[in-house]
Amino acid sequence: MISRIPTFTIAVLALCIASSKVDTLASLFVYDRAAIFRGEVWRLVTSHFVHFGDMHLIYNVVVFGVIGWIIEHKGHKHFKLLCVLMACSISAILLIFKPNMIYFGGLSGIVCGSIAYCSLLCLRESSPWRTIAIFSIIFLIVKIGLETYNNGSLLPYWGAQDFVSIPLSHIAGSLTAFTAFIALRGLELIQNKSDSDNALVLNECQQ
Amino acid sequence: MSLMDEVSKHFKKYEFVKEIELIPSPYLTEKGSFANLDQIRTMYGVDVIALLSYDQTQFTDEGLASMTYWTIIGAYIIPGEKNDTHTMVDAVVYDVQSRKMLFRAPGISHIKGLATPVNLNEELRADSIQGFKEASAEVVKNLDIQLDLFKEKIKEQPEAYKVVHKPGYTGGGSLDISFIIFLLISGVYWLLMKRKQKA
Repeated sequence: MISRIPTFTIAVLALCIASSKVDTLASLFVYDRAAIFRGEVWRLVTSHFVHFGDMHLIYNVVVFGVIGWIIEHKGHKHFKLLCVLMACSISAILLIFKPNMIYFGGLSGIVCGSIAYCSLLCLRESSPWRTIAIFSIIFLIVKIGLETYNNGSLLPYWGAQDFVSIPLSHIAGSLTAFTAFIALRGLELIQNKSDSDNALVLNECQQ
Repeated sequence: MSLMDEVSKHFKKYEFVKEIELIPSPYLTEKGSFANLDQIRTMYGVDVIALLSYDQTQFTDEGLASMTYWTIIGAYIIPGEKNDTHTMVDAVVYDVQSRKMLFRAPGISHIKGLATPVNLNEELRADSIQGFKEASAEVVKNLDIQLDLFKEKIKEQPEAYKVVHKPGYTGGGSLDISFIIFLLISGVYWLLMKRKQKA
């Protein structure tokens, strides 16, 4: 039972709330283009914990809480590694493709990637998870497509939005998750094949 | 200035509007053209300028009821003066640098009223103020419509308009309510299916 407590998800949520509420942490963690080029590379990962308002924080934290809890509850491996990978790839892509953007914050790229990863994993399961996974993938593709077309949030944003919405972070997160899923699945297949080969050799030796 | 103030208040709500400067008419010179707008652009640091112009015409005609004026009392109590007030307020939005008109929105008001010869001027003033109010409200409404159409136009003609953010802007990775709605629907579906499987 203890292993089913989503410790990683809770830790990320706690960091998000702390980083968004404590100004010192926010200034230390936020994506600051100039600071990153000065060598403060931890911002590539930590920037995703920082949020620029209550609604910005609530939307991201609620969805990540649910998705992270599902992934951890199901005992899927590599979630922590995937989150770090997504954080780095999103920030790197923003560094390259958004040179005019000085500051960035928000967990949504990682959330989109987590939804994509969770959905791809759940495709192998039986209904209702499989059905939900199919609809999640369709929803994600349509949502990101429309956001990119609109260059901003799809639905009106409640509350003050003191930042420019960046759909590119969602694309980067989802693509990283997809690539990681394919790579991990490939590794699993290679591992299974070598295990079965070893078992065959062992059987032959025993005979 | 009050009309400009009203229009500016309405547009401050948009996240792509960083700041609105109200520039009084004396800064615009007659036949100043874009050279004048360029000066204003440099002076105030504005990218886009919305030029507001207005025109109002009032007509007064005497109706059949004006015959009662011969009774002298009638001139005080019978409204035999027919007033027409036509007001037009026009807003044109220009990108000063590219010298391109982005969109325009008119606001028109037509007020008909009656007055006695004694309170004619008072009624005309009231109609004039009401005319401006109605026309400005229509300008604001039409500007919203034109702005939405302009957004569509940008998407349809990406080669004609390039959307750029000012250097130094802050970006955010943000989700909207649609994700939460989707999660709720998925949760309800999951619960229903689980119950069905148990049954």
